[in-house]
Amino acid sequence: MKIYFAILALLVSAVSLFTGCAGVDDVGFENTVQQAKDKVFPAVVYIRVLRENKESGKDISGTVSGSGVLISPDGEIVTNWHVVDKAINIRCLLSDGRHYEAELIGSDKDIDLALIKLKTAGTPGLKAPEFPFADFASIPAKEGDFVMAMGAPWGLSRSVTIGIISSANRYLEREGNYSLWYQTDAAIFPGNSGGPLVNTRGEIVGINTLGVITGGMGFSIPSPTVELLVGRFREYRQANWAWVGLELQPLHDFNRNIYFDGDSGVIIAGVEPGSPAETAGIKARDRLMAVNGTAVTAMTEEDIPAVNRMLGLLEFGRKADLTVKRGNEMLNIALTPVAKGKVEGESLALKKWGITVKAINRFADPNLYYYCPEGVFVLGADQGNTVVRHDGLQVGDIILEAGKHKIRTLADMKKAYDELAAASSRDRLVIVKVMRNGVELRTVLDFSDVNNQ
Amino acid sequence: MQQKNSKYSVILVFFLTLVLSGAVSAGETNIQSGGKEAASAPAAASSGEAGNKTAAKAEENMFDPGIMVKQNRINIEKNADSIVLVDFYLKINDRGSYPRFRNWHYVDSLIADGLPHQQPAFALKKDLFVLQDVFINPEFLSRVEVKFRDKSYPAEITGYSPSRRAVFIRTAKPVEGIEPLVFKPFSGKGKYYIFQLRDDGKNWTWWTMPFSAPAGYILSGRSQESINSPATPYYSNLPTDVLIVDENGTAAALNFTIRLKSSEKLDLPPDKWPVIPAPELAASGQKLLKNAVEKSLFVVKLNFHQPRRNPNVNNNSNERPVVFMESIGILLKDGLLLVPEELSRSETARLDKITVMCGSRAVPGEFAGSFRDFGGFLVKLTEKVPGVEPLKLEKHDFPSLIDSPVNLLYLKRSGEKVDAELERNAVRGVMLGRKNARMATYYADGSCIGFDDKGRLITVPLKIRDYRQTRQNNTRVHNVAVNELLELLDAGGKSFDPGNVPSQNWRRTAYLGILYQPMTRKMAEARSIMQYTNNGATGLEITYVYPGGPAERARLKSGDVLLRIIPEDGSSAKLEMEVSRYPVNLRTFPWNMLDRVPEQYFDKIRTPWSSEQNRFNSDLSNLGVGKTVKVVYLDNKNILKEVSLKIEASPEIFENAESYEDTASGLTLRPETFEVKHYFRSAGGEKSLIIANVRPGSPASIAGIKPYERLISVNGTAVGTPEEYRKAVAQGGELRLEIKRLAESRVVRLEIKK
Repeated sequence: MKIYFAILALLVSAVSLFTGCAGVDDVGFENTVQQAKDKVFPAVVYIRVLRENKESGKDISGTVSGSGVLISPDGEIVTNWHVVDKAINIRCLLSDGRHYEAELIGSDKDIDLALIKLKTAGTPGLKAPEFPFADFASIPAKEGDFVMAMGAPWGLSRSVTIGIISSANRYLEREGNYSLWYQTDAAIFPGNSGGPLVNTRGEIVGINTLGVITGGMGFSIPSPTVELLVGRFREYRQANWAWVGLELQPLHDFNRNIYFDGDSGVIIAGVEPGSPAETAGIKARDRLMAVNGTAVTAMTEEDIPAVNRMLGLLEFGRKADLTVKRGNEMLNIALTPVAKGKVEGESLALKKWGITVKAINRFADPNLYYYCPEGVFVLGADQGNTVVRHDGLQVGDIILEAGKHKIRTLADMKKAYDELAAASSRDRLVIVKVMRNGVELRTVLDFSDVNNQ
Repeated sequence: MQQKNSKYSVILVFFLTLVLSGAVSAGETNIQSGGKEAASAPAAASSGEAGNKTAAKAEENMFDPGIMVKQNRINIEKNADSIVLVDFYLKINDRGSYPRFRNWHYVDSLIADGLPHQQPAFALKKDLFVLQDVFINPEFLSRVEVKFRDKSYPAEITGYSPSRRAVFIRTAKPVEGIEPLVFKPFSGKGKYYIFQLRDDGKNWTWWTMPFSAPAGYILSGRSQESINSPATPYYSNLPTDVLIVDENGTAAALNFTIRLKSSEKLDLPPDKWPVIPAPELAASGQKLLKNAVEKSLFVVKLNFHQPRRNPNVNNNSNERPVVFMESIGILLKDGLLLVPEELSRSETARLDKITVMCGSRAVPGEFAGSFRDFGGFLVKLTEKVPGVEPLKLEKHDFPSLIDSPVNLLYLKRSGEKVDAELERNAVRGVMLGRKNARMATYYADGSCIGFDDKGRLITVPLKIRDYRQTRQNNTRVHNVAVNELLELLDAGGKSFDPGNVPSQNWRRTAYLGILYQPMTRKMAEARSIMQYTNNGATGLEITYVYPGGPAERARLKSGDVLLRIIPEDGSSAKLEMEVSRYPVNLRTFPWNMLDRVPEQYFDKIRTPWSSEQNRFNSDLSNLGVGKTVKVVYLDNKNILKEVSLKIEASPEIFENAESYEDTASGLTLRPETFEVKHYFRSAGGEKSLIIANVRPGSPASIAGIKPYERLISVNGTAVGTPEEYRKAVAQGGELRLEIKRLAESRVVRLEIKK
């Protein structure tokens, strides 16, 4: 009897031993995570940027830091555009402690992506350093996949947060919509912005870009988009989007509660004035059916970025064949896209006057562009400036003339400023003509205190 | 209660013989379901209900209240089981109007508390009751219940007897314990009493009062309110809402109306009263309503020139004088419409354009005269419009109309169409108002057009002019008799005020065709023009010159500083361009915040452009359109110059441009006048309409359209005038609107039912 009990006890304890480590799968998962992390951590880079900040009227520099990820052994790093925008100086700290300066290869504001490269030209004769790097995922991520957001928020040590892909086709209303987003609940915060979103195989599935302050929701640029853009950065030093000037609307627009018949094509909501589409004769309410023979369809707003991307990748200067449905007619319209060019004007700080001006750009400042296609406007004013008095000059005013100088471009503005603000200038009061709210006004700037500085 | 015994009846008869006319009544409470409880108390009250007043005084001291109490008890015993209370539960109708049969406070407190309007009713059968018609329109009733002995019985209105002011209701099930009334006509002998259930404010109490002459009723040929002798004699001052009983309490007659034609018999039993079934009455009312609204009543749009502002009056810049008004015109005859609006002489002088909306056609109208004594004017249609019918205008014998049934039309304007509600009612009285105007009053309030039961016009709502009062006092609208109206029309020019006409030489608003900004001290310093501009206190700097305007022709340019304007004939004082007098709003319109404005504030958003209805233009107008003036100014090089120019009338501006309010979509559209076109840099050839307002809660508002966006096309068709828009949306259904907000355009979908 006792023997039987003993064997039974043994069996029971054996079973319990096995059930005790009921985490056979758990241990496996933990291992997977560790492996993936170990694979990519070395490639995560801490980036520190000295950038010029002209918005508040002064020409000050500030530091911005973020993360990036090495994607090739010769030191190419992918990060966000908003990390390296307007950078004067980019420095990177690798996980093994090495530090290098980096140069900007290419960046794009619409996608919010940038490619920088470590400057490794050092002592000749020495072997060029090699860097650990991470690969892009071969299979795109899908909802429910476990992902890790990695970054280097404050310096040497790296951080990793974990979550899943909450949505693989997130549409965010922004200007320049060329891509959908991955939404994840892995914590994305300003520190790991620009860092990689990594799957359990240790591959990059996205670049962390946006987070919500309350947490729980973050957005990453999907890796197919990143790969596409990296290629274009390498070739053109920018995304080199083409611009046709079409505003698109899906067939089933739930938000605006407007539904169009049929299940193919994409509705053209508007044609921007002065655009290639307007020149080609496309009208609002036309339905775009195909581009160069490839059918396009946008049923819901999630389909819009893909169509934008197709149009953005057209070769500029080269005629594209658009098939457009107008009423019951099918029309073939030839359209020559142009380069989108800059999506933001440059800015200039006028130190003595305490204001910053910026060139008007049709993408960044559409309401100003409407009134003045070529011009310069007041971006910001310094709090303590003495020149711009109450109601004299307001943020958003387009400067048309300053004294005797007509202002069209930033260069014109610089020339006028240099002359008027010179210590030798005897003009104490300068009449400036501005456009505000579509109305031309004249205002007087008082330089009596300034020119003596 | 069996209270009768021989002893009492002897005393009763004794006292009754002393009674000739009643001045004393007795009341006893009735404890009925739905009724109120109270102690019985005989009350001595003199009432004027029985007519013969002189007799009343003499007999008063001979009258014993005790007799009335006893009679009351007899009446109660005999008839209490035949009288019920009816609960009318009221509601607001589909259009959001309140019942009009009583004042708003009464009605609103009942609806708010869920309490019914109560009335007594008399049983004719176990399930049929008759009661006084207080003109509750069925569309305001949510349910009707008969209450008897603590039980409620759902009931329905089945018919009306307008000549008797009665309404018949039928319960779904017979009322338990009810005793239908049996009527015995007047015998010519013995005493009669009136017996009723009265609400004294707190309780329902039974009242008994003597009923005048034993033979029955008072014959009268004239009421103190009539103006002339009526054509037909009638009985007046009858007791209403009463059962007339004999000494035994047996019912002889039922009466609800104050007046009755002498050809009618007072003691005609109710089952013999002429009844019009409820659906038939409603149908005939609807027919009248439909006919009138479609063929005889039209929306009239009035455009006015901008007024000049009196420079001596301290103007509140928030008040904008009327430049556009919409009213309802009544087609009378010969293509003449009566517009019941009281326009002052100065307003009519500014009248620019009259448009009558006949169905979908916009017919221009000609001013045909404004009444001297009444607040109304006539408009003549300049085109023959098919399908319209003037209202029948006939003289009526107004005194005989008193208490006769009428149909009242309450009008509302719904966009370009007239909307109306019909109420059955009766004429309460006829009187002479101020200026001896003949008018009628009804048992309902509010401005309405009155028709008799045959659909003929009897009153129109007009104000009586009082030139003493300022415009701020809202004079009441009176129901002016059609006889009066006919006399006004027949008198032709004599009834019009010759001074209340649109002015041919009207001094229209002037404009110079510029945008300007006021001088500042700094600017005067910078330009070295301090001595010309009074150290920056005077001077308007031109910032834009409108092409084709007088300023352009006078070669004025942007940058010139206007100093003063002097009339060349010296007729008025010169105009100094004082900066404090001509302020300009220099703020930007927040286009990006437009989406955040809640829709109830849409009509408060100021226009993005500076309005042409400003003090500069009105000062210029005071100098006079057509006058030649000398403009003294400083040119761009600060050289003092002068130029002569003629003051011109302003072209159409946003505020007085033709506006179209599309009720179906909720959009109010105006054509883009010159200052709007300049603001949006809209080229000459482009067609667009500016969205002046969006009605909160309308399909357009839900679709996200905001005020000051522009409508470019509807379903692909460009629209540049309200007429084009009207044609484009005539079909209704699904509309695709191309909307532009500054630079951005989008397609918006609206679903319109037609």
